[in-house]
Amino acid sequence: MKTRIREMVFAAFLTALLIVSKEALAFLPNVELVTLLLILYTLLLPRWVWVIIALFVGIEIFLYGFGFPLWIVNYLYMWPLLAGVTLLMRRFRSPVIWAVVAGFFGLLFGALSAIPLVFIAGAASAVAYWMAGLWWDIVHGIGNFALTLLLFRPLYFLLERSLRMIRTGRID
Amino acid sequence: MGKTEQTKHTKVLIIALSCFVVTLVAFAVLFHLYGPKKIVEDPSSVPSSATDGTSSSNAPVFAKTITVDITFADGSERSVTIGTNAASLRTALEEQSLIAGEESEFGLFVKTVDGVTADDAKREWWAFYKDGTLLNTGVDSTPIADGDRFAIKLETY
Repeated sequence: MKTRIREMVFAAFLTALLIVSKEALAFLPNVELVTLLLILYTLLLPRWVWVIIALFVGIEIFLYGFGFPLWIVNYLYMWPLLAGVTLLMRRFRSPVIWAVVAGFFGLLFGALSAIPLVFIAGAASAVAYWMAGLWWDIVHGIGNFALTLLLFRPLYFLLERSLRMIRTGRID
Repeated sequence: MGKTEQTKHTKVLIIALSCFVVTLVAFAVLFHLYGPKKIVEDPSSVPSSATDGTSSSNAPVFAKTITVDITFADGSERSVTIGTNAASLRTALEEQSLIAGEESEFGLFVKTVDGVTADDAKREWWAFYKDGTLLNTGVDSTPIADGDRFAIKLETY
């Protein structure tokens, strides 16, 4: 099987992993692995990450998008933004740096989510929306920081090893 | 990694961590100062009552009277005057069984008003106004005062 096809199948698997991780942690409000996984996917599969994000958002809309809620608009720019920032900082491999990036993404999640509200309901409503959820942004930021600090290195190692196997066709 | 590079790397880590911690603290302060405050009701207060045009000598005394104008999808309206001792809009409306919804991390997300449920498929939602201005607070954290007039309208987004 050609490397490209193997990578395509692997990208589909990684998308499924993204969805499963999101659903598995859904009982913990604002604690998620999606941010960390997308950072890792961007570092290791920079060309495939855009396909993974498109699939992830598409599946989420299919599962929960009934009635076109606001988060659909948010998802369209927030996950690509994370991938973009990760690409700009791709030379870093320190778990602390990525924990800070993931932490900031969690902290700013509410503020970024409020952007469409500026156009829909005005700046005052957008700020009120942001303030209402600020406590959960703090939880999100701390959760992202802790999970990334703990899991960045082992997951990076696992993903890198899996990719090497997929690209070479050899099991090390 | 050379010593100079190592020092530079450590500096970057310290700066990044410091920025994160400072932002975290700043957000906590912002939330403490400007975050929504859930209104705590006085448990000894008398439950509210909707005015129906009759009066009774045994009627409880209410500290506040508020008016709620409800507008439905077809444009029809209903006005309800409520006598209440409640501190929050949520309690005053719930005592009249005027609202129902889902508990969320932001408080009650109102889905039903006066028996009419907003239809997600039609992208409907219940918008709350006070003096013609869209409320920026949830029903849990909206205080009420005597003479307040609220409007609740079924709108689409």
